[in-house]
Amino acid sequence: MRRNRPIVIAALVVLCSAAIAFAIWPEWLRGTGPSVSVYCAHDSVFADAILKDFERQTGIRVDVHYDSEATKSLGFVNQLKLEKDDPHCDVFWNNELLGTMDLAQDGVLEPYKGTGYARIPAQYKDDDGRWTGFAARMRVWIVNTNWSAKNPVTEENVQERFDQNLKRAAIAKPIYGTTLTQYSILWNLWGPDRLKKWDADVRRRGLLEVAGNARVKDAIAAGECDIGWTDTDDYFEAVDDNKPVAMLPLLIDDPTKTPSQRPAKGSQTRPYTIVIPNTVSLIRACRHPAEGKKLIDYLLSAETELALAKSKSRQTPLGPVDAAQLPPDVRKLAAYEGQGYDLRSLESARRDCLAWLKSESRQ
Amino acid sequence: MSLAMICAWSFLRSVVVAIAAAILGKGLAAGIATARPRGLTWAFLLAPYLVPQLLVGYAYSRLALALIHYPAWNEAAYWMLLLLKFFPAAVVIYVFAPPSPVSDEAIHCQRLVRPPGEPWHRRAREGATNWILGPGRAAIAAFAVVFLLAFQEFEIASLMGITSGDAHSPVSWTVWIFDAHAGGLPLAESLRYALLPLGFELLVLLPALAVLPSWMTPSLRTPEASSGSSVTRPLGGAFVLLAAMLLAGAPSVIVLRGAANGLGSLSTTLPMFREIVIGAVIAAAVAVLACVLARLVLSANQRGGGRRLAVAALGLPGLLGPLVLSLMILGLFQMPGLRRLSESLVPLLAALVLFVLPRAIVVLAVTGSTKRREGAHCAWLLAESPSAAQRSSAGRLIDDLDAKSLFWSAVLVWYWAYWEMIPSALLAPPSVMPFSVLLYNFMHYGQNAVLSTMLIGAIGLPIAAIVILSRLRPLFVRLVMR
Repeated sequence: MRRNRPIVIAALVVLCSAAIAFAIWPEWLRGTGPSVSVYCAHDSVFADAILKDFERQTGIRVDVHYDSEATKSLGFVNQLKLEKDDPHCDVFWNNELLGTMDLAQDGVLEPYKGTGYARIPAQYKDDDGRWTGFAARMRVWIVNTNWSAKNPVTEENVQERFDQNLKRAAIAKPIYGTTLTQYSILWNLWGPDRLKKWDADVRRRGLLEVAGNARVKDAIAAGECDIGWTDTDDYFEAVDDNKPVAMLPLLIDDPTKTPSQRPAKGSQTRPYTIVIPNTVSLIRACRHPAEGKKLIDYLLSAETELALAKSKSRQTPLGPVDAAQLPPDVRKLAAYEGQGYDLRSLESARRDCLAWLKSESRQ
Repeated sequence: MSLAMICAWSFLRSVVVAIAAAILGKGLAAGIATARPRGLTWAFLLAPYLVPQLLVGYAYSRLALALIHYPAWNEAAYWMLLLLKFFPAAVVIYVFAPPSPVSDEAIHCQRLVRPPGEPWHRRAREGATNWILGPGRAAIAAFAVVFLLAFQEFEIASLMGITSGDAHSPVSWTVWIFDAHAGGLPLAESLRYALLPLGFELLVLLPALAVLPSWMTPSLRTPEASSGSSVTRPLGGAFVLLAAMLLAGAPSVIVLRGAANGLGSLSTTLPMFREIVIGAVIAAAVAVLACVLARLVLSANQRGGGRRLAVAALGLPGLLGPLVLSLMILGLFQMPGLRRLSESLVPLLAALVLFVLPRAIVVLAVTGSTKRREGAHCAWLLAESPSAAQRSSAGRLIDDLDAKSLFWSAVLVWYWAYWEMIPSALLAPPSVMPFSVLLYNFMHYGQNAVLSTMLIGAIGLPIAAIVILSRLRPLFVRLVMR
């Protein structure tokens, strides 16, 4: 034993030193080449493949931090504000727009107009280049087909159902994610008083508030609820799992406009759809701006938009792509894209609406 | 609902679960200690406790969905799951508890010398004092431990939709604070909120710590156990079996069935291989550090005196639970001087080591009995022999008496660290995020084949590594002793 003791001690010292070094500089585990740090609010199931492709194509390592489903995107928005003076992240891939606009307002984002910026329509990007939208989802009604077997999924039927008892209807908590976007639009269109009255009314009629759009989808798919609001990516997940669901784009009205002022597209009596783009932004004073810009260009490319359209989330490209390559589901959704509400006007509505929801302890 | 109300409800729930577990544990302990076959009995008993909370929450999220219109039933199901999950801890405490410092005979003698006509309240007070200082100490320990486990539970509550306490969901303070913090609440605010549940924890912890340390001897001994009555034994056995089926069997079936359908999705699972390895390596480092610290703590405890205070100081942070502890560590590493380490693994390692340390101390105290230590000491002396044959024999003895129990104790500590999600979610640098955080996020999308396959990978890969290491252990010990 005496003979081997120095060898064992030396081996333990080497192991302990390696462990300490790894603990203090964990990047060692993944090599020391170029890297970019990303906060990603998009579902990791879909985003991971895109980011891995970027790693393969460029050799730039992506350190990605995903958000939790329950606090979608809001967590990162607040975290980035807290880290404003010492950012830990280079690129913010948000799965919605309003939080990103809030960050732009707070001076957290660095303008960048790269190759991808030019191909995105003006409605879906910041004039100053602080954020750019791509690959959108749409807010939809999701209904259980056992209910819709007796009631065809039309705008009128769905609305009529929603005007009744809501004990078998579900939405995600409006303080987070795309439900917050929807509430902010209603805040803007209807005004705070009407929204608050409507919100109190639907809650009184028993509308279920659950943790996240995925939970809404699950409740409808399992037949525990008839109807709810979710996003297209969650809806398609249920479809792929052969669940009994159907959907209809959510259309919202604008009480300030007469029918003749509304967009002519389609026969809907309500003018707007809610098209929610992913957004990507460079963080001001970030550590790896060059790598971050490469990633932004990659995410805003037609290649990435097509990949996201073909992925299980079936996201609608915002820039020009080869339409023949789009899956049929995405082509149908793309028809509603022109009716999308211009979310850029919601900056103050989001803040005020969020403040109201927080004051109501709606966590 | 305010956080104070949420904490009060969580407190009430945990107290009820802990009382039920303490009563059940006492009833079951006698039978368990003498039941045969011994290994199988212990496996069934410990299975619910050892099944990761993430897995239980994942399995029962569908039940929670079915109860979406019946929040009271969902709450009741959660109470039941907490009881079934944590009652084994109470049983283990009863089985391994040191004997009561006040014997039944002494209590009986005291009764005999009582003056006739003694007022009832005096008799009741003396009875209570005797119980607390004597036979009640095991019950107090069981109650306190199960209370802490139930009060600090997070994953099952979160995945079952026990969240924020609005009209449609029951409440859990852990989910409320975790979601608020993940939702961007500044750290100072999160820490301020965490003070409230900390106060509730201390309500139970401080009285328990005041009563129990003098009872805890340096070497825990297994008391002589009675075998239980012929009526309670079959009932106890049936309960243990039921708990194992509901908490370990049902989740396993769900995961295996899903994984069988998801074999085609292995390509989706493989990218998580890296996160599994990261989780396993971090947990291994934590297990080694915690076991070394636990051994130091136990030897310091043997010497008594002021060192016991140091033991309590080291053990206390872990008793506060992973959420409060992680928030405190997060706050600590935002201070000047330590801030530079905030992006390293040091905060995560510190939180995990402190969290598992009390468990490591208990496990090492239970496995390192006095008799074994004496035998091991003799074997270590033999290892100094100039004879190669004697050193080889010493190696075998050391492996059997010391290394084996230490290895399996470390594996148990590793297991707790490996599956603990909250410290990783709050403290891990993005570049080394362990698998548990990814799994937790994926689990919010509901049950599916890909996730079940990932779970099989997260469970199976480390088990394979442990099996290989357990085979290599005797060889390594012999190599060192040669």
